[in-house]
Amino acid sequence: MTIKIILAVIIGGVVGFFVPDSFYAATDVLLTIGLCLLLFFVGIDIGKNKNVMRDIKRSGRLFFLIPLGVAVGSLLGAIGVGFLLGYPINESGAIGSGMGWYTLSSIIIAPYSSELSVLAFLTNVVREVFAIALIPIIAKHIGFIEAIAPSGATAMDTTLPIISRNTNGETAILSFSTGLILSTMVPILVPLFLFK
Amino acid sequence: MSSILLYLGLLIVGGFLSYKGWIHKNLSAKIDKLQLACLFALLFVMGMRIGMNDRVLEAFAQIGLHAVLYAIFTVAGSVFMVHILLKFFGKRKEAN
Repeated sequence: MTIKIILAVIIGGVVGFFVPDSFYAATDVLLTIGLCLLLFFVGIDIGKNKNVMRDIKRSGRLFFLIPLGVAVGSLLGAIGVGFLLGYPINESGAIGSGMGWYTLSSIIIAPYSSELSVLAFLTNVVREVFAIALIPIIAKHIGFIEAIAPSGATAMDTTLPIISRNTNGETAILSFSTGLILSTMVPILVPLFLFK
Repeated sequence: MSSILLYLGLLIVGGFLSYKGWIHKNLSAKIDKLQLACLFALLFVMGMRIGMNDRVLEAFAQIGLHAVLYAIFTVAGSVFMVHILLKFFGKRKEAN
């Protein structure tokens, strides 16, 4: 499964290299339509589980605890590695605040520094690829809920079906709410680190 | 923000229709395959966007290593912190 997923991205990358740039805008529409369909199907999948309301109630404090853990861990990780690489704390914090949402975080950072913007873009693209590859492994060896952590903000869309397939309905619900909370944090946290 | 609301809305509508049993059984039975088809199409398009973006391709050579290191540490930090929080404050229930 993981190899197929990575292959799909690589084949897409090779095709994209030869496709004219004018097609770029169309990919926005394709992504939106694809995500709409996907989330509708994921909803159907979750709704098949008749215990869904009970599961949400049972999530309880995990509803806030998981996004908090993902955000704090992501920031500490970014600031830590940034220190070793010689980046200022605020720049590393901004990159860590991207939470895997590479388009938005790099756009917010662009006016501050184009180099940092590209670094944020790449970091979060790579984070998403890592998440895709690691979710099945973390779900199997560490725990279902921990498998949400690598995804960050993408836990509610692109990586949700992978989490859903590798864990259970309850974790999929928690994954969506985690992604939702983190997605709302990205446009707040990234500028907070860079602009005074 | 509007796209987040749209996605959330579709997820809830899909979930509600399915929960109420209003989704045709043929569609319901094929839902796994449909999810996979969408996922691979999205990954392909995502890959295409990366391949089409010259800025990203050039940057890969320059600061790709830093990006990989940042990605490793943010992912590791997130997994570690969630694991620790679950250990101290969370209740574990992962029965399938």
